[in-house]
Amino acid sequence: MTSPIRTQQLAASAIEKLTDLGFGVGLRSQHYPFIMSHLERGTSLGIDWFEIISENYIDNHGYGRHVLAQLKEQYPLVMHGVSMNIGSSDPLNFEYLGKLKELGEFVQPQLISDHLCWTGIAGLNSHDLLPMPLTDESLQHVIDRVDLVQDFLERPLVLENPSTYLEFQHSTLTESEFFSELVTATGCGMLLDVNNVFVSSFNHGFDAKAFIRQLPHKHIVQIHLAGPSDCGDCLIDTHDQPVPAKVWQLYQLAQQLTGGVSTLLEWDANIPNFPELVDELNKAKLVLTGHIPKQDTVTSANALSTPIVKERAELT
Amino acid sequence: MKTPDLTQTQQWLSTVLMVRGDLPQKLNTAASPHGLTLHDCVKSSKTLGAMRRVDIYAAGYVMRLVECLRGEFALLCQFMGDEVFDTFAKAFIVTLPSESWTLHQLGSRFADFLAHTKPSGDFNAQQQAMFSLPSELAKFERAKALALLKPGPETEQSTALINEIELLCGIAEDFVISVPESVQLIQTDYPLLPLITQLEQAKPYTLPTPEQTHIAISRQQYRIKMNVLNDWQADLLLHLREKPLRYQEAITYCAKRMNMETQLLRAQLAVWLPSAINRGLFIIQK
Repeated sequence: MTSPIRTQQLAASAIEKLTDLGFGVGLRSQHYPFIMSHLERGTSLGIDWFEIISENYIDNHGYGRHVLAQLKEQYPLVMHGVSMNIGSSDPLNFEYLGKLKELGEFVQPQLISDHLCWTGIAGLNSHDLLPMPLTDESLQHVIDRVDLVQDFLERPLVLENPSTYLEFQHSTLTESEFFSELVTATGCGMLLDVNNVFVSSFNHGFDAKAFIRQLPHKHIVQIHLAGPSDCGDCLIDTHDQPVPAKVWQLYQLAQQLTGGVSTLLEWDANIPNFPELVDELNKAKLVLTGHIPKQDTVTSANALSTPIVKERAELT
Repeated sequence: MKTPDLTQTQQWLSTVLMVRGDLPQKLNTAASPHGLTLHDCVKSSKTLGAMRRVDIYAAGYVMRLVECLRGEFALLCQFMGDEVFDTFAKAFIVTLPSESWTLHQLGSRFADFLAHTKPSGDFNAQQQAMFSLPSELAKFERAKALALLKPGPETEQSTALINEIELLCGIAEDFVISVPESVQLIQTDYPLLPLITQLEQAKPYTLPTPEQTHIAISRQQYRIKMNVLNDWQADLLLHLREKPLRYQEAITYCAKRMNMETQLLRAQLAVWLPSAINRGLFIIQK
């Protein structure tokens, strides 16, 4: 294994060199026919790059992999995962990491990201992004594991702040402090999901703008946008709505503080057609010129947190 | 109370999510190893209590995976109806929690779970079919999911285009026949394909009568093909999937196993093989 200090320096250096990819969307199988018809004709899709859910393409040798092979020739790709389980007290899963690395060799992404969370323990997987107790013990645990992952993948890891619905009594750090310590210690990057900041700030009663101001801006390499659902007593991260004005305001602030990083719109349920998705993404360009779209948070009684983005593998 | 460490905290929340029962029962079970209560672990606020906060995760855990199973077992869901399907899906998730990092594995044990939980007793034919068909359909849909994911014939096309006459003339004796990983062979107690067609077309269905059936699910240009095979076809597919063989050897060994005349099998295979290759069941290479 490379020495942790060397790995951290390499990661930090690689993070600094990442360029702003512009405006992208998450690749979803519902859009494959539209995307493939444009790729075949060589016409523009109106976006700059795509983010893929890594787990949908690992061990997938079906149509999705075929789409990916075509897409990577024409668009920059980023790999975003949900199963690294970086915060778990279970041992790291090197079978998973091996497959992730293998997919990375195929995709050649600009970066590989996952979430600051845990997904399971004792060999069981909840397939949810569960919140970390924000303690010194957790911080050191995650630092050690990020070092191992970066050494194994031979590239920096980028971690996203998840939406959370609970905080642990014994947490002693804020999430922004946790991220600042983590990126300083490991050189890893941060994927700032401004929708998740909006959701968590509402649910836990903290100031979203102050949170974003406290983050390590030099390490933020990408921003996620999405629309949550208002369930009355809480906000749920549903990725099934237009981006509300309050999230656009956070996006504007984050772009000012970071100096401009890659923007990605996530939409995982009630997915609109591709041109409508691009229209929503293009609002981000307006926000950067000072215009905040008017959009309320949509109310929903039966919202499901963190929808699964499962590929529909069959070609119809 | 001692502050829980990372492992204890994660064991606690994982138990709350995954064990059987309503939320108070789950919290009770989660408390037993280290004496951790909800209020020891989770902060409350005036607008959102600790119980509600944990319930968002607990309810979300089950429903998210039920939704995932609905996607993989869409025909079964249609056959059983949403309410009955969800009941079995929830029981499955609680009984056999996911042990894999990938959702591609989630449905791998669902057909067996349905088979083991079906009522046993002295039922009439219609009742027997109603109790048996869910696991049969689940077996079929699981095989279909694998057929869509595994490496298929698209990237390893046959290097030889061959027709029935050429096969009979013996020009393919040394060609190697193999089976793409995407091909899934299942044996069912009912002839499922008419029922599957009726379900796919959302038409009223008729219950099939029992009959042992070999169904091979293949993929060609990323589209699913369903094939009912006879005994020698299933045997040939099964063995060539284990080990590719030269055409001549494949005939000899299959004829021996199936106790058939070699010349008869050669003739029948020559008729069948070109269409089977077109349907993604085999790859033939010079």
